[in-house]
Amino acid sequence: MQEEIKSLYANDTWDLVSLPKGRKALPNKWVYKVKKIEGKPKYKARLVAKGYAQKEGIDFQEVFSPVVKMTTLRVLFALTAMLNLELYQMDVKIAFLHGDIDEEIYMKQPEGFVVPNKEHLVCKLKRSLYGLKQAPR
Amino acid sequence: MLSQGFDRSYADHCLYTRKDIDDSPIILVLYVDDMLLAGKRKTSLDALKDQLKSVFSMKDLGNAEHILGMRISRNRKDKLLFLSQEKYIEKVLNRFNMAEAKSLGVPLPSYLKLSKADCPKDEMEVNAMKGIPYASACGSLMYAMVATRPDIAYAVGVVSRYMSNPGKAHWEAVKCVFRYLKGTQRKCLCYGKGALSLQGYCDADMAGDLDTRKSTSGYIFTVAGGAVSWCSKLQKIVALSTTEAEYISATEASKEAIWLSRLAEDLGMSVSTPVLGCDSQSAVYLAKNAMFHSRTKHIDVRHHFIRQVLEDGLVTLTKIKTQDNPADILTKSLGKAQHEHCIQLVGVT
Repeated sequence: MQEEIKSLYANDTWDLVSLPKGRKALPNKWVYKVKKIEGKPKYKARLVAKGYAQKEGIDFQEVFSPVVKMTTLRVLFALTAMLNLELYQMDVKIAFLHGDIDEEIYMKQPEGFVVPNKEHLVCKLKRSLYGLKQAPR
Repeated sequence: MLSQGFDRSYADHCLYTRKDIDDSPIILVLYVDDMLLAGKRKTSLDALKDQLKSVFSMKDLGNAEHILGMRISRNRKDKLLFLSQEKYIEKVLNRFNMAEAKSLGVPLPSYLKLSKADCPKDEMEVNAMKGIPYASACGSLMYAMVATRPDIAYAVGVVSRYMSNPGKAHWEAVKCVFRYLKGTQRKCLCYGKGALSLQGYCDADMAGDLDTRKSTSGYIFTVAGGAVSWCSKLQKIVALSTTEAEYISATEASKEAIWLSRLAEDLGMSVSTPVLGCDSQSAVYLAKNAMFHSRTKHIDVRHHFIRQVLEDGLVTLTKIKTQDNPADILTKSLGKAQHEHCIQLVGVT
């Protein structure tokens, strides 16, 4: 949980602002998961926004996720085989925290991590978060 | 990505390419949080990786081995690449308790003629089907089909038609597909055995659907001897003749051919015009000569798209023999020998 909050801050995910009139702050929650890595359990916490509370036209315009076509991959593999190319794979960590968002989205401060003396402020998101309509799934 | 000097492909927005110093292409595929890098020169790729790592936080997974549930294995000496889903299929077979089932030579034996007549007719039959995970079984089969298994495309298409109200006979058919997968679990898609050109095949089965009398169209494209794109689909309209059904499927296939040649161009392949094989002489004639007579005058304008495409030289259409048309597996149930011959033609080994 500390790790997740740290990475959210490191990526400059939001600004603390006061909520403008006529807007609602999205609720959020922590999702916990136990992953087994080589037999040892690893605990993961992830902050997700409750995207279902987003209103079309206000919080999001259009949803678009980039999903590669299987055909593209297969043509690439065919090419790789024929030309004897090198083929490497990389994994982008916390991929879409890099994705900027164009709409103004406000979220309540994450539970347990409310900044003291700034309880009345909300998070204005600068980058995408899990659970948002703007997030890939 | 664009800041690294990459161009985004129009054919697929997840694809980015850039020219290396020796003019060979460097290809980058990015989707959600995975990335594939391909190129000729190791040094250039390593430099690119370091560059990317300085901008994003990334983990280098080395040579690509697993992607979207597919396993990639290579034989660099003979320039071959294999794609398999053995693990995925094993998981699915276990999940549906089919791991110990007897294997079958074809995905859908031709004696199984499914129709709406097999759907449950009264409450008792509906209740009997309630405990059966029909939809999720279809979904699992579909994923295998979409990724590496063109050989089950027709069977999956047929069983999916009854998803909303499956009957006992339909479930038996699903089990047949599982049994076929059980016997062919280790089959791979193999690339590197043919020429680096786009070769397509199309076929249609006139009035194959017993309920609506609609025809099934199917097409399959290969590059380097392995299938890259395939489709088996019930046509939207009722065709009045075999020729018409074949003609519609050729039009569908030519659309895919155009997209594929664009994609190939974006990948830096210098490909010749895609060749589309069709086993109906009359459909080939119909596409090549804009003749107009009583038997073809009703065909909708949209299906004449292929005439334009052929005239513009974007696709070449040729007549091939039925027994050498692998698209046969996408439109009908075949016997074991013919099925095996067909899948071999598209690199399923």
